[in-house]
Amino acid sequence: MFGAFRATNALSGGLLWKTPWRLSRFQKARHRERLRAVDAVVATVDQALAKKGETLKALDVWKETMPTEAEMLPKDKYTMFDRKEKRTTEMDESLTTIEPTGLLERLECIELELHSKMVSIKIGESLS
Amino acid sequence: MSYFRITLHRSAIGLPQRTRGVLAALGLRKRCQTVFHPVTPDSAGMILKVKELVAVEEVARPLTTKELREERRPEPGFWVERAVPR
Repeated sequence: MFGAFRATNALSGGLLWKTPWRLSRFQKARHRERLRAVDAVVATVDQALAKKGETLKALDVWKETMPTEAEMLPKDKYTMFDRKEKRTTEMDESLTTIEPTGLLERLECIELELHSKMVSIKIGESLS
Repeated sequence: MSYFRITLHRSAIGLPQRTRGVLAALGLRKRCQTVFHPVTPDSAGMILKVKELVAVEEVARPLTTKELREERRPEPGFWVERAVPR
């Protein structure tokens, strides 16, 4: 059970490389830093060109379509698409399902829906 | 006339030939190398192609190699540090 000859996964099965299914908060923090660095580059280029009165189509398209780090949802920020995964997302660097934060948002949406339904029922009753 | 000060922060190892070509066109060969390009749509487009790899600032004039080296020189001398009184 204990000691040098204990049966761990690595010892009984030989090679064992495990990548955690989610990023740690430090990995996430560094990831956010990298995202913000890209935003900073785009912002600098944008300001410099605006001063000159020049426009760049690639820049306009980027600003129109791509969210900044602050605007991104946690799900978009920390996960990426994987066709092998049933629930459609893959954590950056490793497999995952859905972020807890994403789940919370969904629950809130469902609550809101329920709330609106209740309100509509009440209105219907008062009318009848 | 203002310039982009572009520093390559992340290496291009393992990236497509096209991306490496953009870096070569910018004159960036190794990490932490800094180059200056005038603010034009051309240079801006090249920067956008490699925006994940570089850090960009807007500066009034390009610095010479000597000035860049001088920036990195640590301050001479030393500081005497005292323990913070509790």
